[in-house]
Amino acid sequence: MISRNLFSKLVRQDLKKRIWCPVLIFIAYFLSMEVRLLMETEKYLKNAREYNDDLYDIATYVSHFFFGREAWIVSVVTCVIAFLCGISGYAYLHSRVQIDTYHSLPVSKTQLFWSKYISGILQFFFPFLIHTLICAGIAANRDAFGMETVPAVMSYIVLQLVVFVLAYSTTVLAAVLTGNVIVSILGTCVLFAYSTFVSVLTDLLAHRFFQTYYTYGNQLGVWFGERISCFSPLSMLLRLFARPYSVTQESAQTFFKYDSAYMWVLIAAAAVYSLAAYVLYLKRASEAAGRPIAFRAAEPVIRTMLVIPVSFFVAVFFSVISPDSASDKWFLFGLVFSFVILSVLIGIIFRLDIRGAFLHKRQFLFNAACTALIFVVLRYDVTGYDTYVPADAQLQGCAVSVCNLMPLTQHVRVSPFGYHHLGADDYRMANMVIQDNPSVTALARKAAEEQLTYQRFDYYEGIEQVPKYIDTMERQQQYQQIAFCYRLRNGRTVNRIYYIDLADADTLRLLSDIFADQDYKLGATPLFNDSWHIAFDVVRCKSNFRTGEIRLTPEMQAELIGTYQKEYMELALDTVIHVIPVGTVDFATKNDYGYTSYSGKMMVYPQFTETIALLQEFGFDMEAKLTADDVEKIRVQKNLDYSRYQNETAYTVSEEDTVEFTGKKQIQQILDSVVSDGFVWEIGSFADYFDGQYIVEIQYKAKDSIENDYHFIKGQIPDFVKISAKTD
Amino acid sequence: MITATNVKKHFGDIVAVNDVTVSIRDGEVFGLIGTNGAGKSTFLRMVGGVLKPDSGSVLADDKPVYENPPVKADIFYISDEQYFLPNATPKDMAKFYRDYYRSFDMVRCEDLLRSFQLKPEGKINTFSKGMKKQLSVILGVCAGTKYLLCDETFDGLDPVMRQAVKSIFAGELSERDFTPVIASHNLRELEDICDSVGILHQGGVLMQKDLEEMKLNIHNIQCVFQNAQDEQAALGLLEIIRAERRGTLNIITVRGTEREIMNKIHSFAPIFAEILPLTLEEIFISETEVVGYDIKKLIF
Repeated sequence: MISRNLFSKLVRQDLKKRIWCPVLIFIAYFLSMEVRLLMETEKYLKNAREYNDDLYDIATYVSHFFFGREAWIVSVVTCVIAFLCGISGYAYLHSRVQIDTYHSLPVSKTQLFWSKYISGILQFFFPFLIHTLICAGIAANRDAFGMETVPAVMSYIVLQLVVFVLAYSTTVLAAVLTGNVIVSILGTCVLFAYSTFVSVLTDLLAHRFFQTYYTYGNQLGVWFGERISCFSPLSMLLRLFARPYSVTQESAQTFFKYDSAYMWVLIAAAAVYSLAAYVLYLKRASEAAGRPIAFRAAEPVIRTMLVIPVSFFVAVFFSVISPDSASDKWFLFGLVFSFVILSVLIGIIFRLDIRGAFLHKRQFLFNAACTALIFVVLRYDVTGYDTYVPADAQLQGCAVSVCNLMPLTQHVRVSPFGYHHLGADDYRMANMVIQDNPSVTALARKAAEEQLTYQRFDYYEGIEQVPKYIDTMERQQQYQQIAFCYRLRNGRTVNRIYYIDLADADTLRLLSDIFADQDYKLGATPLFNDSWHIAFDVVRCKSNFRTGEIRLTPEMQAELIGTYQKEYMELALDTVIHVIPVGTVDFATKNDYGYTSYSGKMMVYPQFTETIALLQEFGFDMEAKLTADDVEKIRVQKNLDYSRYQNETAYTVSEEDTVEFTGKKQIQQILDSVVSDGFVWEIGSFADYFDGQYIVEIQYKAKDSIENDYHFIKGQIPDFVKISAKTD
Repeated sequence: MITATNVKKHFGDIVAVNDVTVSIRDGEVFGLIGTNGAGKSTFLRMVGGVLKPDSGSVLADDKPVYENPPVKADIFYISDEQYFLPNATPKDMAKFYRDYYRSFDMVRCEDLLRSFQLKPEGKINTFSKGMKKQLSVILGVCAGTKYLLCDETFDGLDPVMRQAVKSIFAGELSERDFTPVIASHNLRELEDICDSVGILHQGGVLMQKDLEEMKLNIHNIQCVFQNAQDEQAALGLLEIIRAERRGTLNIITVRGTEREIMNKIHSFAPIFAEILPLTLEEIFISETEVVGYDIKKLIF
């Protein structure tokens, strides 16, 4: 009984001692909650129409945004408050005078620790709770508080409490580990963000040293979500608040929901950090006050854990700002420079004495050896990272994403709240499973063995005449990027990216085998994914000369997709390379602000007879031709980039090299021998049916018609064009 | 009783307290003397339960002090630089300690504050160093603990205040079970307060003595004998610690009771013999010289 009384007295005393703390917290939450809510609701009411178009009302805004995903804004404030509470509560450990008083009192260390711990939480919680209730009141006053807001508010309170305890326990741990306020603040930063820093560094180093290093998904997710080393609070919070990785319909739909399962990880981490802080507090000697690090035994560990990664980070920085980022020279300079400086600096900080710089020579040598070893392993790929391809027996399945071969739009609107980024590689790596296709690993092995790299040049006047440039560019014209995701039987997933040479017959044969695989096509686009079917507003159609949109009933959409899918499944890579498409179809949603493509522009080839017929039935004739009567004039411009990018769609034109044709005969001849840049653009260097020497611009007679860019079909450039353009 | 047995404490490579064995009897005022860095504060911090000894034991009433709240409830430690809560008043501090020490006497505290002319509602951060020390002693006394550990608390107090504190201690000693332990680097500061004194030097206890016993057993005498033979014979009978000769006048510091010494001298019918007053300082100089130390260099 006495003990409980004493405990509550201690808590009360601590609250009184740090009364400025809850006052500051109160002000911080007032600005980040009430003021923000008032501003946001006012903004909402001003732009109500825009919000309503996005299918949510003010109550939805409050529950889904304010108390939902936008809670991260208040979580940032909560973290800062946690630092404040943690540092101010345990700063007495860094003062000999205060330690003499507190540790001489007839109170056990356990009581002292937990009373301060609880006091810190209460200092945060009560002001926060009051502000949350006031916000709920404001929302209710503006008719923005519905029944669905109650659980949102409850989970918001729990979320912020968990975030606070996590950040707070980290700060307390740092305060206990150190004996000086400044070092304690630095220590808090290190503990709070260490795994984040290491994850980012790992990614940077892998990008630098491994040609085949490849990650997919949003970068935050890659850095913090995928790694088991996600132990620092910052990594955890970034993962919690990162947008869901929208590679499945299910994850995309959870855009405004928290990963409740991950909340348990946060709670567990907070418990572990708190317990660690408590155990170290008990073991911490009172005389540690004033020393930078309270535990001598921890010094070498901290030194190594800081010096090596930070040195590599500085090395990357130096190489990035250097004139030649690929060169090892500046990387090594940064590595050696930062290693020495950091070793000396940490030595001084640990001893608070300049003489500390030259102590611990053996550890200096140990760290230097580790740093050198890591550099050698990375630089010379000692582990064989770039050449690794799993054995067939290890493989459970594969995903392959070939750049430009099949379209996939980058943004998909899958929920009423907004758009979701959906990278083509991201989608395919997550959704495609190719099994028992030996061509996949054969192509991977070939690519890993060849180790092709795409060399880029800094352009300058006259570079086109440099033999090395010409050779390299010619060789690289047919290079294509290809990403692999190996799903191993042991549950691991391995990603690699390579360049392949489409000019290589073996490579092309293997790629054709992969393209012919039904699983490849089914997994390459959400259009063929049953779980991704959502309602479209329109199908945007484009033929060589015309565009149009058709509105279809869901049944008609299903029929069109089914027909198209059936014919696409029979499509061969050879057709993609050599056959000129008749058009594209693009399944899209539409609102007042424009279209949102769902599928990307899917090619329609002449072989797709049923699709073409169905489109005609629905109102768009893909085979309709343009006649010279519809055209006012045609401008043919020389592609100045042709010598550099012969088979690519990049072009620069000059007015001086432009020739106009207005004669009907010439116009008709040109119309019969051009292909829309839109078709070529979609599949890039795979298209082998166009000639990039000229850009053809057609100006229609109809006033509302747009001007379109075209290329000549390979081998079909009319002679009068060649003569007019003064080229051979 | 506080008993420290073979207590050692290192701070890194520095030996702060080295194999100290001290007994502090209940009801006596114990003075702990030593130069700066002698280990007084470290020793008191261990007795106060702030520091854990590396080896040896520190017991209060036969129970270990460190991490033992019931035992620490009988000890109040006043550090050399006492901590006061930010922006606190003496009354706030009294309330603070009242929460920890169940026998804290608020009424007495207010009385003493008044006696020492310290404003109970005044901000401590506006107090002088001496006033803060007075406040610390008042808080310590009012805590009602059996042991009061004062680290350099008396250094810097003016004589009037020291006398006042001394009288408070005297009152406490007569009224209850009270044992103050006072550390100081200045022997003169403790001369009129302590019953027993321990000298710390370089982390170890040089000596521990009861002051009264020391005063009764050591005397300073000046005497003149009738001739050299008498003089030699008389001095030969005495346990002389120090001897000085100015012409025929002998000034000697002798161990033994006054009666015993004077009897021996008078048996040779000296021309003149009398006992001179001996300061605590002189006693210590004499005592430590015997064990081979120049205490002037150690303490004064």
